Amino acid sequence: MGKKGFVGIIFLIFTLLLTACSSTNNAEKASTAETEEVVGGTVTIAFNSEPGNLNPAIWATTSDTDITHMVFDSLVVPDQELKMEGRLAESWEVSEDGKIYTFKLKDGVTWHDGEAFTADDVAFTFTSLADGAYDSGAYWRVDPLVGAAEYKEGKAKSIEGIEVVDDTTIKFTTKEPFAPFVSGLFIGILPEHVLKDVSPGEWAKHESNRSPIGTGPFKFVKWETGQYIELEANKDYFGETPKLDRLIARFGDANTMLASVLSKDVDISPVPVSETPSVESLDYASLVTQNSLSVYYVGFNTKSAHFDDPKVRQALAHAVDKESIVTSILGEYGNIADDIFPSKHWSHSPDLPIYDFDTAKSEQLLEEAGYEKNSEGIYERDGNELSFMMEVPTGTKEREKSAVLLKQMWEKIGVKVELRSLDFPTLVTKLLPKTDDGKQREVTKDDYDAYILGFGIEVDPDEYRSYFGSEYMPPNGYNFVGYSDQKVDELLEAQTTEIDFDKRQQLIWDVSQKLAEDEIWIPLYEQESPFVVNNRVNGFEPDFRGVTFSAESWSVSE
Amino acid sequence: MKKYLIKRLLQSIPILIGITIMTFAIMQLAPGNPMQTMIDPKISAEEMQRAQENLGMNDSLPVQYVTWLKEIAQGNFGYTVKTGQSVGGLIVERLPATLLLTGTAFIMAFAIGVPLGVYSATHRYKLPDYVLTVISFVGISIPSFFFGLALIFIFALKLGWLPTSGMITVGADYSGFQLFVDYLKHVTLPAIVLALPTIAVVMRFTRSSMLEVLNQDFIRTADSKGLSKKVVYLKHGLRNALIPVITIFGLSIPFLFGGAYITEHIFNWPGMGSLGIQSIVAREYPVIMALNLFTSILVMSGNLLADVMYAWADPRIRY
Repeated sequence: MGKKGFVGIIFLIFTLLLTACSSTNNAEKASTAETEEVVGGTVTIAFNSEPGNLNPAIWATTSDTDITHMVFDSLVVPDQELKMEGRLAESWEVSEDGKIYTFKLKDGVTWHDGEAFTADDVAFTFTSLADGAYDSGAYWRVDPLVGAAEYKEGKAKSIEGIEVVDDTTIKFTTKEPFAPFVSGLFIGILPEHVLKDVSPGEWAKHESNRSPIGTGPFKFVKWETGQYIELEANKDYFGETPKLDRLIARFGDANTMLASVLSKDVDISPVPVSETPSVESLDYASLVTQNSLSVYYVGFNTKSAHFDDPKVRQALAHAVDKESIVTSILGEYGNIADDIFPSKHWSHSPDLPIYDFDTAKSEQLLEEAGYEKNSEGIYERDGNELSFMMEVPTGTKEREKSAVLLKQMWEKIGVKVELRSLDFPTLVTKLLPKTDDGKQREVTKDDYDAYILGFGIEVDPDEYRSYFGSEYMPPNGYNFVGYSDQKVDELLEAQTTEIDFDKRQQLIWDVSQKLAEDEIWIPLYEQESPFVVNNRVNGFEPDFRGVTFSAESWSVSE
Repeated sequence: MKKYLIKRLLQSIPILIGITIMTFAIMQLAPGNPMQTMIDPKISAEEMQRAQENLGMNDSLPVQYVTWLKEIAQGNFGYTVKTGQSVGGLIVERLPATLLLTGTAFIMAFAIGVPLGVYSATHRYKLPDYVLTVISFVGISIPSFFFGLALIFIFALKLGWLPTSGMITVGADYSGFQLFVDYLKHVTLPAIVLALPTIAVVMRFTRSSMLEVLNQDFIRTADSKGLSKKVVYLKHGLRNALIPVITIFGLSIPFLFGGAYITEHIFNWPGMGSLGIQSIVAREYPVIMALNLFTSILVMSGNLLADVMYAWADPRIRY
């Protein structure tokens, strides 16, 4: 025994390992040979963060909806222009006064467990969102309905504005005509037969959040915490059935997932813009970009004496060389933004004041505003130097780099800028400040000077209302820049009740016109997200609706 | 001994309470709370306020802490703020992965560190000793995220011998022996990364302890009796030299669990470390508290274990 015995054992383990490796390789080869013949196969897609839960009605984040879009169906879904089209709804009609929506549902739809889907499921889902115990962030969807508030307060047994006519017809009645109402119905319909005995306040703890039953094109198979979620094709799907047999979503750090693409364990993975050169040269994979509906911008605290003056904001805007930010940081994965409404969305107005890069103009505007350069070359007014701190949330490399360039650009015209890196939750405590006893309070000039962030449309441009309406200043909303303009307030309210699409679009264009004149936010750029995709995958064309939004049309070839 | 154990266990209770109070305070000092990361223009401010109210986040801090402590005393670790998962369940789900990884690294650290230390000591001031010394310094100083990525690059991407990340081959559904082999392949790289600094420490410790013992009279006696080198070094030398090394046993446990935070992140290992990082970013207070409590218990048991083993290995030590 002794030394020889030990070496013998090591040798044995080694041989076993090697044979195990080679046998798995054979198995892989066998399975690839199969996929040549059969339509089907598996695609593995990587995400950088794991879903919290798979109930679309509980604090849905992008990592959640990337999965739930495939498992659940909504009444309506956005098309490529973010206009709504029917999914579970066959069609719908809006009454003359714009208050009654009658939805005809698709016939013969079944849940993944075989139960029939009916209008009762739809009514159940939307009624639950107004339940007094429900507090997970989707009440706004039903808030426009007649009787929703009464039901929430426990004054009514049901919501008057939701009426099941028959198994395939449901009627919604809103208090006032409300244009964004239909887009608010873009949320997965939940199975009544699974959740009916659970109070919506307890949904978060229910097991179905981790093993959901939907009606969608993919069925849930399993979720290995911290590792992956496995879905399989729903071959009985009422719409386009998936071409794949199986879809696996893995979760992990960006670099790790990228390495898994290189080792071919993962087919699709997000790539940080700075890493794109390292995958461009791969002969078995390509880069695909996902456009987004978000705009990166700098926001100013108008409570501060400097930024209260639109001339100062305009001067800072003219000093920004957006072209150089885009070319040096984003390359082909970004473009200049001149509108705070995303350029690919119908809310983007083609005709807006443009703040081109012109430092002479900046200096002129600052002088008009009463600033003069002091001995150190910094502009000052009444002895106050034009110096400020810009808050830079970490997490997006490109945003952090842009902040550095902005600082240089502004310092060139004689403005003193300091940058402060912080994580997003910390920034939020500055934008939405609280008193010592935990109550939200108004923003003061001491909370922050300026910040850089991204903002975009999720489903409807009405989302801008609580950022610019004067009644939505914290603690009542997200107007932390403290913007207040009567005309904008009126326009923002008017567009919610305007049912005619063209007229509504014009109202929103008027809003963006006024906001651009005041330059309350300086729009900087729009960013696209690159993905690396193994060439065996066909049909991966992600857009702003979500990476997996059209997963049913993905396929694999060998 | 029994009395000593009971005393130590009783002592640990106030220490644990102290630790939880400090964790709680530090966590609350960090700006932001879980709900504030959910900022969404469509959700009205009142609705947000109500959600915070329901979660008890508007209570005063001492009240929140006492509520938490009461629940813990009944074995309830609470629920995650955003997704309502049971925190106890989450930890139970993640614990095996972390134990497997740290356990493998632990065994690796001692199985490699001790022999290398002996070798280094018996070849003192010769080339192998210098080489091992340099390697151990590299081992202690190299940042684990860099070392991890380097290993992934070499062994997973260039050579293709081992998988890049994860704990099992996704979607392969292995069982039995195949599953074990699959696991071994996945654990190798992260365990090396995690174990490397401990290997270095164990090696240096064994070396110096061994050198001290080898200078003692009874070794000279054994040597002059004509015993073989092997018997002198291993039977007489190592046995005595190992006593101080045992301390490292206990002390390396918290070190390995701490290192697992980064290693698990790099290798996408589904353990408590990666859960911890996610929870800190999301300000998931209940998870952070539970993880901290859990890790403190581990550290304290590690220390206790070291003391107990010390007495067991060296009969001269009495408590």
